[in-house]
Amino acid sequence: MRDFLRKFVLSSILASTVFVIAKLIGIWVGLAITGAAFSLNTTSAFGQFVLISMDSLTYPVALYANVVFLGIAIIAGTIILTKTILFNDLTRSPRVMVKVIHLNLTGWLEDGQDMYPKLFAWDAFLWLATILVIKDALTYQFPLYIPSIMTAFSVYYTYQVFSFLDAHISDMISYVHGTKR
Amino acid sequence: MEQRDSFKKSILSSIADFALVLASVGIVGITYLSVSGLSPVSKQRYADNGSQVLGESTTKTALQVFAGEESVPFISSYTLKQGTSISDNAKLDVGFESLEATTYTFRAASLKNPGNTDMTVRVTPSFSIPGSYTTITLVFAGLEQEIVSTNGLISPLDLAIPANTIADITLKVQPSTRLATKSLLSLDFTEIR
Repeated sequence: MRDFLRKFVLSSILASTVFVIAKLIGIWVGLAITGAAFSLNTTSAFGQFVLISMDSLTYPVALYANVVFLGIAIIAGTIILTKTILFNDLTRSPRVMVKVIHLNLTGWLEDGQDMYPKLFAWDAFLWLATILVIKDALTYQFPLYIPSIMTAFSVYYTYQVFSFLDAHISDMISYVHGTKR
Repeated sequence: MEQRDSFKKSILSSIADFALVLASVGIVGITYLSVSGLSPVSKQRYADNGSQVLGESTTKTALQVFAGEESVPFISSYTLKQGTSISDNAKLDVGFESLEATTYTFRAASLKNPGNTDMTVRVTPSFSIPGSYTTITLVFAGLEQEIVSTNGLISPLDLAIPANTIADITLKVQPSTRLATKSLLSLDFTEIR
Protein backbone atom coordinates (compact mmCIF):
# COMPACT_ATOMS: atom_id res chain seq x y z
CA MET A 1 0.00 0.00 0.00
CA ARG A 2 2.80 2.38 0.99
CA ASP A 3 4.60 1.87 -2.31
CA PHE A 4 1.37 2.55 -4.22
CA LEU A 5 0.70 5.76 -2.26
CA ARG A 6 4.30 6.96 -2.58
CA LYS A 7 4.17 6.53 -6.37
CA PHE A 8 0.72 8.12 -6.43
CA VAL A 9 2.11 11.23 -4.67
CA LEU A 10 5.08 11.38 -7.07
CA SER A 11 2.77 11.08 -10.10
CA SER A 12 0.48 13.75 -8.58
CA ILE A 13 3.40 16.18 -8.24
CA LEU A 14 4.28 15.61 -11.91
CA ALA A 15 0.65 16.02 -13.05
CA SER A 16 0.23 19.14 -10.90
CA THR A 17 3.38 20.71 -12.35
CA VAL A 18 2.25 19.90 -15.90
CA PHE A 19 -1.17 21.54 -15.35
CA VAL A 20 0.24 24.69 -13.68
CA ILE A 21 2.82 25.09 -16.48
CA ALA A 22 0.06 24.45 -19.07
CA LYS A 23 -2.01 27.30 -17.64
CA LEU A 24 1.05 29.59 -17.50
CA ILE A 25 1.81 28.85 -21.17
CA GLY A 26 -1.86 29.44 -22.01
CA ILE A 27 -1.87 32.84 -20.28
CA TRP A 28 1.38 33.77 -22.01
CA VAL A 29 -0.06 32.77 -25.42
CA GLY A 30 -3.28 34.72 -24.70
CA LEU A 31 -1.38 37.85 -23.69
CA ALA A 32 0.95 37.57 -26.70
CA ILE A 33 -1.91 37.13 -29.23
CA THR A 34 -4.17 39.87 -27.84
CA GLY A 35 -1.35 42.26 -26.91
CA ALA A 36 -3.24 43.02 -23.70
CA ALA A 37 -1.57 45.23 -21.10
CA PHE A 38 -1.47 43.40 -17.80
CA SER A 39 -0.06 43.59 -14.31
CA LEU A 40 0.78 40.90 -11.82
CA ASN A 41 -0.97 41.01 -8.48
CA THR A 42 1.45 39.97 -5.79
CA THR A 43 -0.59 41.05 -2.80
CA SER A 44 -1.93 37.56 -2.04
CA ALA A 45 -0.35 34.14 -2.46
CA PHE A 46 -3.45 32.43 -3.89
CA GLY A 47 -5.55 35.28 -5.25
CA GLN A 48 -6.15 36.36 -8.83
CA PHE A 49 -2.63 36.75 -10.14
CA VAL A 50 -3.06 38.19 -13.65
CA LEU A 51 -4.90 41.51 -13.93
CA ILE A 52 -5.83 42.71 -17.43
CA SER A 53 -6.06 46.49 -17.88
CA MET A 54 -8.86 46.41 -20.46
CA ASP A 55 -12.09 44.72 -19.50
CA SER A 56 -12.83 43.67 -23.10
CA LEU A 57 -9.54 41.73 -23.44
CA THR A 58 -10.11 39.54 -20.37
CA TYR A 59 -12.38 37.14 -22.29
CA PRO A 60 -10.01 36.42 -25.25
CA VAL A 61 -7.00 35.99 -22.93
CA ALA A 62 -8.97 33.54 -20.75
CA LEU A 63 -10.24 31.72 -23.86
CA TYR A 64 -6.75 31.25 -25.35
CA ALA A 65 -5.41 30.21 -21.93
CA ASN A 66 -8.11 27.54 -21.57
CA VAL A 67 -7.71 26.24 -25.13
CA VAL A 68 -3.95 25.79 -24.58
CA PHE A 69 -4.59 24.25 -21.13
CA LEU A 70 -7.15 21.87 -22.66
CA GLY A 71 -4.74 20.93 -25.47
CA ILE A 72 -1.85 20.17 -23.11
CA ALA A 73 -4.13 18.19 -20.74
CA ILE A 74 -5.38 16.05 -23.65
CA ILE A 75 -1.85 15.49 -25.00
CA ALA A 76 -0.57 14.45 -21.53
CA GLY A 77 -3.57 12.15 -20.97
CA THR A 78 -3.16 10.62 -24.44
CA ILE A 79 0.52 9.85 -23.79
CA ILE A 80 -0.35 8.04 -20.52
CA LEU A 81 -3.25 6.21 -22.21
CA THR A 82 -1.16 5.19 -25.23
CA LYS A 83 1.43 3.64 -22.96
CA THR A 84 -1.30 1.75 -21.08
CA ILE A 85 -3.17 0.51 -24.15
CA LEU A 86 0.06 -0.46 -25.85
CA PHE A 87 1.14 -2.34 -22.73
CA ASN A 88 -2.28 -3.97 -22.52
CA ASP A 89 -2.13 -5.09 -26.17
CA LEU A 90 1.46 -6.16 -25.72
CA THR A 91 0.47 -8.75 -23.15
CA ARG A 92 -2.22 -10.15 -25.45
CA SER A 93 -0.91 -9.92 -28.96
CA PRO A 94 2.48 -11.22 -30.09
CA ARG A 95 2.05 -9.12 -33.25
CA VAL A 96 2.05 -5.89 -31.24
CA MET A 97 5.02 -7.13 -29.24
CA VAL A 98 7.01 -7.72 -32.43
CA LYS A 99 6.10 -4.25 -33.68
CA VAL A 100 7.12 -2.62 -30.38
CA ILE A 101 10.45 -4.43 -30.41
CA HIS A 102 10.96 -3.57 -34.09
CA LEU A 103 10.27 0.14 -33.41
CA ASN A 104 12.54 -0.01 -30.34
CA LEU A 105 9.77 1.27 -28.06
CA THR A 106 10.37 -1.17 -25.21
CA GLY A 107 12.23 1.49 -23.20
CA TRP A 108 9.31 3.89 -23.62
CA LEU A 109 6.86 1.41 -22.14
CA GLU A 110 6.66 1.34 -18.39
CA ASP A 111 6.54 -1.46 -15.92
CA GLY A 112 2.91 -2.60 -15.76
CA GLN A 113 2.73 -2.30 -11.98
CA ASP A 114 4.06 1.26 -11.90
CA MET A 115 1.26 2.22 -14.25
CA TYR A 116 -1.50 1.81 -11.64
CA PRO A 117 -0.69 4.78 -9.36
CA LYS A 118 0.18 6.85 -12.43
CA LEU A 119 -3.14 6.02 -14.13
CA PHE A 120 -5.13 6.92 -11.00
CA ALA A 121 -3.18 10.14 -10.34
CA TRP A 122 -3.61 11.40 -13.91
CA ASP A 123 -7.28 10.42 -13.86
CA ALA A 124 -7.80 12.48 -10.68
CA PHE A 125 -5.94 15.44 -12.18
CA LEU A 126 -7.82 15.23 -15.48
CA TRP A 127 -11.08 15.51 -13.54
CA LEU A 128 -9.59 18.42 -11.60
CA ALA A 129 -8.69 20.04 -14.93
CA THR A 130 -12.28 19.43 -16.09
CA ILE A 131 -13.63 21.20 -13.00
CA LEU A 132 -11.25 24.12 -13.62
CA VAL A 133 -12.26 24.42 -17.30
CA ILE A 134 -15.99 24.25 -16.40
CA LYS A 135 -15.42 26.92 -13.70
CA ASP A 136 -13.71 29.22 -16.22
CA ALA A 137 -16.39 28.46 -18.84
CA LEU A 138 -19.09 29.56 -16.40
CA THR A 139 -17.13 32.63 -15.29
CA TYR A 140 -16.25 33.91 -18.78
CA GLN A 141 -19.23 32.41 -20.71
CA PHE A 142 -17.08 30.34 -23.08
CA PRO A 143 -18.59 28.38 -25.98
CA LEU A 144 -19.96 25.04 -24.77
CA TYR A 145 -17.53 22.93 -26.83
CA ILE A 146 -14.52 23.75 -24.61
CA PRO A 147 -15.83 22.24 -21.35
CA SER A 148 -17.58 19.50 -23.39
CA ILE A 149 -14.33 18.34 -25.02
CA MET A 150 -12.55 18.30 -21.65
CA THR A 151 -15.38 16.36 -19.98
CA ALA A 152 -15.61 13.89 -22.88
CA PHE A 153 -11.86 13.24 -22.75
CA SER A 154 -11.93 12.71 -18.96
CA VAL A 155 -14.85 10.26 -19.33
CA TYR A 156 -12.98 8.40 -22.11
CA TYR A 157 -9.76 8.31 -20.04
CA THR A 158 -11.61 7.00 -16.96
CA TYR A 159 -13.32 4.34 -19.08
CA GLN A 160 -9.97 3.22 -20.51
CA VAL A 161 -8.38 3.15 -17.04
CA PHE A 162 -11.14 0.93 -15.68
CA SER A 163 -11.02 -1.30 -18.77
CA PHE A 164 -7.29 -1.72 -18.20
CA LEU A 165 -7.84 -2.49 -14.52
CA ASP A 166 -10.57 -4.98 -15.40
CA ALA A 167 -8.00 -6.98 -17.33
CA HIS A 168 -5.32 -6.66 -14.63
CA ILE A 169 -7.36 -6.57 -11.42
CA SER A 170 -5.60 -9.47 -9.65
CA ASP A 171 -2.18 -8.04 -10.50
CA MET A 172 -3.31 -4.63 -9.22
CA ILE A 173 -4.64 -6.04 -5.91
CA SER A 174 -1.43 -7.94 -5.25
CA TYR A 175 0.54 -4.76 -6.06
CA VAL A 176 -1.50 -2.58 -3.68
CA HIS A 177 -1.10 -5.13 -0.87
CA GLY A 178 2.61 -5.42 -1.59
CA THR A 179 2.50 -9.16 -2.13
CA LYS A 180 3.96 -8.97 -5.63
CA ARG A 181 6.81 -6.89 -7.07
CA MET B 1 7.04 -7.75 23.61
CA GLU B 2 6.87 -8.94 20.02
CA GLN B 3 3.18 -8.13 19.90
CA ARG B 4 3.91 -4.62 21.19
CA ASP B 5 6.56 -4.05 18.52
CA SER B 6 4.23 -5.29 15.84
CA PHE B 7 1.46 -2.98 17.11
CA LYS B 8 3.90 -0.02 17.15
CA LYS B 9 4.98 -0.83 13.60
CA SER B 10 1.40 -1.07 12.43
CA ILE B 11 0.53 2.32 14.00
CA LEU B 12 3.58 3.99 12.41
CA SER B 13 2.75 2.43 9.07
CA SER B 14 -0.84 3.71 9.26
CA ILE B 15 0.39 7.22 10.13
CA ALA B 16 2.78 7.16 7.17
CA ASP B 17 0.00 6.01 4.82
CA PHE B 18 -2.31 8.70 6.17
CA ALA B 19 0.41 11.35 5.65
CA LEU B 20 0.77 10.22 2.04
CA VAL B 21 -3.00 10.45 1.50
CA LEU B 22 -2.96 13.96 3.05
CA ALA B 23 -0.06 14.91 0.78
CA SER B 24 -2.06 13.79 -2.28
CA VAL B 25 -5.08 15.83 -1.19
CA GLY B 26 -2.80 18.82 -0.52
CA ILE B 27 -1.27 18.60 -4.00
CA VAL B 28 -4.75 18.55 -5.56
CA GLY B 29 -5.76 21.60 -3.47
CA ILE B 30 -2.62 23.57 -4.32
CA THR B 31 -3.08 22.75 -8.02
CA TYR B 32 -6.69 23.94 -7.91
CA LEU B 33 -5.73 27.24 -6.25
CA SER B 34 -2.70 27.80 -8.52
CA VAL B 35 -4.48 27.08 -11.82
CA SER B 36 -7.67 28.97 -10.95
CA GLY B 37 -5.55 31.86 -9.59
CA LEU B 38 -3.89 32.14 -13.01
CA SER B 39 -7.23 32.82 -14.74
CA PRO B 40 -7.08 36.47 -15.79
CA VAL B 41 -9.43 39.07 -14.32
CA SER B 42 -10.17 42.62 -15.34
CA LYS B 43 -8.23 45.08 -13.21
CA GLN B 44 -11.40 47.18 -13.07
CA ARG B 45 -13.53 44.36 -11.69
CA TYR B 46 -10.77 43.33 -9.30
CA ALA B 47 -10.73 46.85 -7.86
CA ASP B 48 -14.50 46.68 -7.63
CA ASN B 49 -14.51 43.58 -5.49
CA GLY B 50 -11.28 43.87 -3.57
CA SER B 51 -10.04 46.45 -1.16
CA GLN B 52 -6.54 46.51 -2.65
CA VAL B 53 -5.19 47.21 -6.11
CA LEU B 54 -1.51 46.38 -6.38
CA GLY B 55 -0.98 47.36 -2.80
CA GLU B 56 -2.71 50.72 -3.01
CA SER B 57 -5.79 51.06 -0.88
CA THR B 58 -9.03 52.22 -2.44
CA THR B 59 -12.18 53.04 -0.56
CA LYS B 60 -15.57 51.87 -1.71
CA THR B 61 -17.02 55.37 -2.05
CA ALA B 62 -14.09 57.30 -3.53
CA LEU B 63 -14.15 58.26 -7.21
CA GLN B 64 -11.94 55.98 -9.22
CA VAL B 65 -10.12 56.26 -12.52
CA PHE B 66 -9.23 53.25 -14.62
CA ALA B 67 -6.92 52.79 -17.57
CA GLY B 68 -8.36 53.07 -21.07
CA GLU B 69 -6.82 51.95 -24.35
CA GLU B 70 -3.10 51.55 -23.77
CA SER B 71 -2.18 49.45 -26.79
CA VAL B 72 -2.88 51.92 -29.59
CA PRO B 73 -0.28 52.37 -32.37
CA PHE B 74 0.05 56.14 -31.96
CA ILE B 75 0.50 55.92 -28.16
CA SER B 76 4.12 55.41 -27.10
CA SER B 77 3.58 55.42 -23.33
CA TYR B 78 0.62 55.28 -20.99
CA THR B 79 0.91 55.82 -17.26
CA LEU B 80 -1.78 56.14 -14.65
CA LYS B 81 -0.03 57.58 -11.59
CA GLN B 82 -1.08 57.75 -7.94
CA GLY B 83 -3.25 54.66 -8.09
CA THR B 84 -6.86 54.47 -9.11
CA SER B 85 -8.41 56.57 -6.38
CA ILE B 86 -9.05 60.18 -7.36
CA SER B 87 -8.87 61.25 -3.72
CA ASP B 88 -5.13 60.58 -4.11
CA ASN B 89 -4.98 63.08 -7.04
CA ALA B 90 -4.66 60.61 -9.87
CA LYS B 91 -2.64 61.65 -12.91
CA LEU B 92 -2.74 60.20 -16.40
CA ASP B 93 0.23 60.66 -18.74
CA VAL B 94 -0.22 59.70 -22.40
CA GLY B 95 2.85 59.84 -24.65
CA PHE B 96 2.19 60.14 -28.39
CA GLU B 97 4.34 59.00 -31.29
CA SER B 98 4.85 61.52 -34.13
CA LEU B 99 1.36 62.48 -35.30
CA GLU B 100 0.04 63.29 -38.78
CA ALA B 101 -2.40 66.13 -39.49
CA THR B 102 -5.45 63.98 -38.88
CA THR B 103 -7.81 63.09 -36.03
CA TYR B 104 -6.77 60.44 -33.51
CA THR B 105 -9.49 59.15 -31.20
CA PHE B 106 -9.00 56.79 -28.26
CA ARG B 107 -10.57 55.90 -24.94
CA ALA B 108 -8.23 57.53 -22.44
CA ALA B 109 -9.76 56.39 -19.15
CA SER B 110 -12.92 55.46 -17.30
CA LEU B 111 -14.27 57.26 -14.26
CA LYS B 112 -16.30 55.44 -11.68
CA ASN B 113 -18.45 56.80 -8.91
CA PRO B 114 -19.23 53.85 -6.60
CA GLY B 115 -20.91 56.06 -4.01
CA ASN B 116 -24.56 56.98 -3.56
CA THR B 117 -24.11 60.72 -4.22
CA ASP B 118 -23.25 62.54 -7.45
CA MET B 119 -19.65 63.70 -7.65
CA THR B 120 -17.59 66.10 -9.71
CA VAL B 121 -14.04 65.70 -10.83
CA ARG B 122 -11.84 68.46 -12.27
CA VAL B 123 -9.60 67.45 -15.16
CA THR B 124 -6.62 69.76 -15.65
CA PRO B 125 -4.74 69.07 -18.89
CA SER B 126 -1.23 70.01 -19.94
CA PHE B 127 0.42 69.36 -23.29
CA SER B 128 4.19 69.17 -23.73
CA ILE B 129 4.24 71.19 -27.02
CA PRO B 130 2.12 74.32 -26.30
CA GLY B 131 2.37 76.08 -29.68
CA SER B 132 1.94 72.99 -31.79
CA TYR B 133 -1.36 73.93 -33.50
CA THR B 134 -2.92 70.85 -31.97
CA THR B 135 -6.48 70.71 -30.71
CA ILE B 136 -7.34 68.19 -28.02
CA THR B 137 -11.01 67.54 -27.34
CA LEU B 138 -12.39 65.57 -24.40
CA VAL B 139 -15.59 63.60 -24.92
CA PHE B 140 -17.48 62.70 -21.76
CA ALA B 141 -21.09 61.56 -21.41
CA GLY B 142 -21.75 62.47 -25.05
CA LEU B 143 -20.49 66.04 -24.68
CA GLU B 144 -17.38 67.34 -26.43
CA GLN B 145 -15.22 70.08 -24.98
CA GLU B 146 -11.90 71.47 -26.14
CA ILE B 147 -9.28 71.16 -23.37
CA VAL B 148 -6.22 72.21 -25.43
CA SER B 149 -6.82 74.73 -28.20
CA THR B 150 -4.83 75.34 -31.40
CA ASN B 151 -2.98 78.27 -29.84
CA GLY B 152 -2.06 76.16 -26.79
CA LEU B 153 -4.72 77.50 -24.42
CA ILE B 154 -5.44 75.05 -21.62
CA SER B 155 -9.00 74.71 -20.29
CA PRO B 156 -9.64 72.69 -17.11
CA LEU B 157 -12.92 70.85 -17.22
CA ASP B 158 -15.37 69.74 -14.53
CA LEU B 159 -17.01 66.39 -15.11
CA ALA B 160 -20.14 65.38 -13.21
CA ILE B 161 -20.45 61.67 -12.49
CA PRO B 162 -23.84 60.47 -11.24
CA ALA B 163 -24.00 58.05 -8.31
CA ASN B 164 -23.23 54.40 -9.06
CA THR B 165 -22.14 54.99 -12.63
CA ILE B 166 -19.08 54.49 -14.73
CA ALA B 167 -18.29 56.69 -17.75
CA ASP B 168 -15.55 56.71 -20.37
CA ILE B 169 -13.30 59.66 -21.19
CA THR B 170 -12.51 59.72 -24.89
CA LEU B 171 -9.88 62.03 -26.32
CA LYS B 172 -9.67 63.43 -29.84
CA VAL B 173 -6.24 64.70 -30.82
CA GLN B 174 -6.18 66.83 -33.99
CA PRO B 175 -2.82 68.30 -35.06
CA SER B 176 -3.21 71.00 -37.77
CA THR B 177 0.22 70.15 -39.11
CA ARG B 178 2.39 67.07 -38.74
CA LEU B 179 3.96 66.68 -35.26
CA ALA B 180 7.35 65.11 -36.00
CA THR B 181 8.48 64.84 -32.37
CA LYS B 182 6.90 62.82 -29.61
CA SER B 183 4.53 64.68 -27.31
CA LEU B 184 3.03 64.14 -23.88
CA LEU B 185 -0.45 64.90 -22.63
CA SER B 186 -1.05 64.92 -18.86
CA LEU B 187 -4.45 64.90 -17.22
CA ASP B 188 -4.68 65.70 -13.52
CA PHE B 189 -7.83 64.48 -11.78
CA THR B 190 -9.00 66.30 -8.66
CA GLU B 191 -12.19 65.55 -6.82
CA ILE B 192 -14.34 68.64 -6.12
CA ARG B 193 -16.40 68.44 -2.96
